[in-house]
Amino acid sequence: MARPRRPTLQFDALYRESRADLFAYVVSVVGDRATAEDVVAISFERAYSKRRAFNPSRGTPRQWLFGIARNAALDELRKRSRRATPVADAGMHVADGAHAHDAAGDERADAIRAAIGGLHPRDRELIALKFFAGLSNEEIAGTLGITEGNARVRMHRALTALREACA
Amino acid sequence: MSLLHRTDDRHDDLPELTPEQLAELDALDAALLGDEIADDALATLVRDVRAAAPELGTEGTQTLNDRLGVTLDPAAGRKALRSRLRPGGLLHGPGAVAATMLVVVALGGGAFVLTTGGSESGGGVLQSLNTGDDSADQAASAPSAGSAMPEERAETVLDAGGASSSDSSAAVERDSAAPSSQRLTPSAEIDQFSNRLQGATVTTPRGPVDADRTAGRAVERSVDLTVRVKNGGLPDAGRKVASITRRSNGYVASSEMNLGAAGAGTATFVLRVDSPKLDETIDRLSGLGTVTGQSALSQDITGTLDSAKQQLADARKAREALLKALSKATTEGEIASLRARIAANRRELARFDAGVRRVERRADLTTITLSMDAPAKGDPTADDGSWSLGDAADDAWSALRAILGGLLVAAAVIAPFALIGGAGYAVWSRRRRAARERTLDT
Repeated sequence: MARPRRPTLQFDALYRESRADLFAYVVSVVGDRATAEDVVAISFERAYSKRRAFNPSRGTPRQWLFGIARNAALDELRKRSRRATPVADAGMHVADGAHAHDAAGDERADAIRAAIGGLHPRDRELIALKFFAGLSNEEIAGTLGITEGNARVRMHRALTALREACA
Repeated sequence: MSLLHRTDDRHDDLPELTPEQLAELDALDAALLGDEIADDALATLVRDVRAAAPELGTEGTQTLNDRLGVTLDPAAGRKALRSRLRPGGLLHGPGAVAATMLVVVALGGGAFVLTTGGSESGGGVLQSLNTGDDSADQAASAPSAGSAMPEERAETVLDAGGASSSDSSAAVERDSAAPSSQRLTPSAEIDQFSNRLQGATVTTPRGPVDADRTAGRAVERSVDLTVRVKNGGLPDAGRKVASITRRSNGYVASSEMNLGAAGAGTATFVLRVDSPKLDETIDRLSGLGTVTGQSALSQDITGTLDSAKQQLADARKAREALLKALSKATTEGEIASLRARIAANRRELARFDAGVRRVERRADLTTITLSMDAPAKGDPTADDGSWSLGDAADDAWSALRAILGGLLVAAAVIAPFALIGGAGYAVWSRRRRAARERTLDT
């Protein structure tokens, strides 16, 4: 009987499915769009070079990819030695104008962004991984390199902080 | 959803969540999946936060695609993606460095083993000759039986300082009129070795040295010679040994021959040959087959000879004195006494004379102990000088062993560095991870 081969990572599909979510997460960590674009590109380059080393027994492809992106984003922060600025202050592009502007909605979005930007960087990172990237608690644990239980506890703390900030 | 029970957190030992808190997280996951949940506030929060998510947008997507070389055409996406992104694998990065180092060290280790460990027995390209020592021992290469031995025999060369080295030369000049030759014949090397032991000055030889060059000194020499003859060649070789010995003004002191089945066998001869003819005798005996071993021993017996001669001279002087006294004797008693003493002196003279002859004979004749053997047919150790497929296989196996030895040496060299490097990398990786985490706390 032939030994089952390790499933090949469908990198192309992973790229198309994850690039938008990855960008949203990275912006939340590094704080500005331009830097986030660089970090996302670097992340995909690194992931492509390591695609043969991907081991599905150690997590999902998205978890693996977001882990690479996290390290790249933190390296960028260390390199520039600057504190992650609130997302709201970056003045990022929210929509490409395809939809009619809703003044109330924009005001609400700005408030949400300000609230997220005011969170502790660790809480902000967790909110981004859960809300923007849609990772499960198990995937978040693998990305951060912590246990799933610890991930749940931290997630709840971040959610509580977000609720308080948005209240 | 199970309650949290794990406390072996990698970081802080966080308290477990309450059931209500766990239910809130479950509701959050459900809302993110688009399911209806009871907590309206949470549902609204999920909707608002997702609406506020930073968007990559069309322009950002295009920028990213351009940077990575990706086209939006699904059909061309795979190939385009690979055209820009750096290929991974062993040929790049630390893997390439490690592979290169391994190859370099393996080649170096193999070269080291090949150049210093080639002391295999048998024939082949990897066999190394003995490189000589300070004794008169010689290890010849493998000349064919019956060939001109003087031109192919390895000789031990003694220089003025007494150091020696072996050289397998194609043509050994034995012409006494070769002043530039530094090679010594066996008798010369024995003499020079003996002289060095005695503390005598060693001069650069100008040609073959015979007993005349050691005028004034008596040296007893003995040579052990081992010759391998071809299968079935022992009887004929034995006859030739006797003939060679007679031509050297010598004699066969003893001989023993054991012939086995299929032409194999051994033979041992003890020969006593004229010392001046030692060199040519060794040459002729070596020509009977392949010399596989040779050693020489010398002992300066000049003191013994001088002592014997002195005793003889003293006895002769005593005889002269006794004869003179006898001529002057007048009484019968004196005459009888003197005659008795002269008789005793005569016996002494004979004994001392025999002693001198005996010592001189030890120097005049050299003892050669010749050992001969004939291998059985098909004996792999029998080397007749040809190179067969079996020899090629032996050489290939020797080369393979040398390469494996080189790889083993390389692994032994690399292993400590790999361990240190691995430990260092682990420490560096942990410190880098900790530094990254601290970034979020600054």
